[in-house]
Amino acid sequence: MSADDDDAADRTFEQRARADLRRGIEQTPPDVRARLDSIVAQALAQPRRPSVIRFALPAAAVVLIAGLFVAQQWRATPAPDASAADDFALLIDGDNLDLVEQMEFYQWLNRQPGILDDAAPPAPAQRS
Amino acid sequence: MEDSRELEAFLRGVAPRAFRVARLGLREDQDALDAVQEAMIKLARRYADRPAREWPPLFYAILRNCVHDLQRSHRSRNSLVSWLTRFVPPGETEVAELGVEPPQPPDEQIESMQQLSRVERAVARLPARQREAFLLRNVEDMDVSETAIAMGCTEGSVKTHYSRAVRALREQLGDL
Repeated sequence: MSADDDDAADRTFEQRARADLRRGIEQTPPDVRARLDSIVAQALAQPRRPSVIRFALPAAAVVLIAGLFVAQQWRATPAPDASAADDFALLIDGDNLDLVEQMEFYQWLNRQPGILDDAAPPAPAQRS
Repeated sequence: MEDSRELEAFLRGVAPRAFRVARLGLREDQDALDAVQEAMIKLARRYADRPAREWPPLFYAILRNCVHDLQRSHRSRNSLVSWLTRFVPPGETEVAELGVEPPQPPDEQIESMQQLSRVERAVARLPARQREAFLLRNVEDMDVSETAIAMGCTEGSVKTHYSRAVRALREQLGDL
């Protein structure tokens, strides 16, 4: 038997099986039909649940817009440059703050000849 | 209101076919009615606002799950019963046997009914996926894409299951 013949035999078989199955459906017993009618009535009386997608889509859109807005704001804020960050680090350092506050004193001290030299410890004596 | 009438027409039309499909999977009228009832209630609650053309594959996808749930619960119940009957002396209990065919009514259409019974028995013996593909295509007239949605698989799988089903049925039944 060729493939075409086999296909044709399949189609014929399907048609006959389909006719038999449909005959079976037509022969559904009356008591079962009555039960099916009451099942349909019961299903139609069910309250309908609102579709999730009806609420999910607007909610997702709101979240997306809010996210985009936050991202845009975050990018628009200028990042502090490196030199400003260095100045800030200098200012918050305790030692450097003292130096800045007493800068005038150290400048005066530097201008006085000999004071810093006298304050230095004496150099060790050289042996002859 | 129009939607309700459309849904009612769909449910009334599909009910006997759905019952037959479920009956072939479950082999008991009461179980098939339970599965159809659950599937219809779920469809009406969840998907009544969907376009009417989407209802058939959605309904059969739900019905398929209901049938599987009942088959699973039967398997658990049967294994429990068979385990319990090992402790009961023979003759003191009867285990309900699934799949017992009703007696043939003696009328002039007996040959026709025997033919129908043979076809239905052969379809019921198919593996579940092949049976689903065969019934959805031939009882519900679904095309391949609708059948794929109802079965939760690809169109290629539907074609494979369907051609295997036809081959297996032809081997069992001849050319009818």
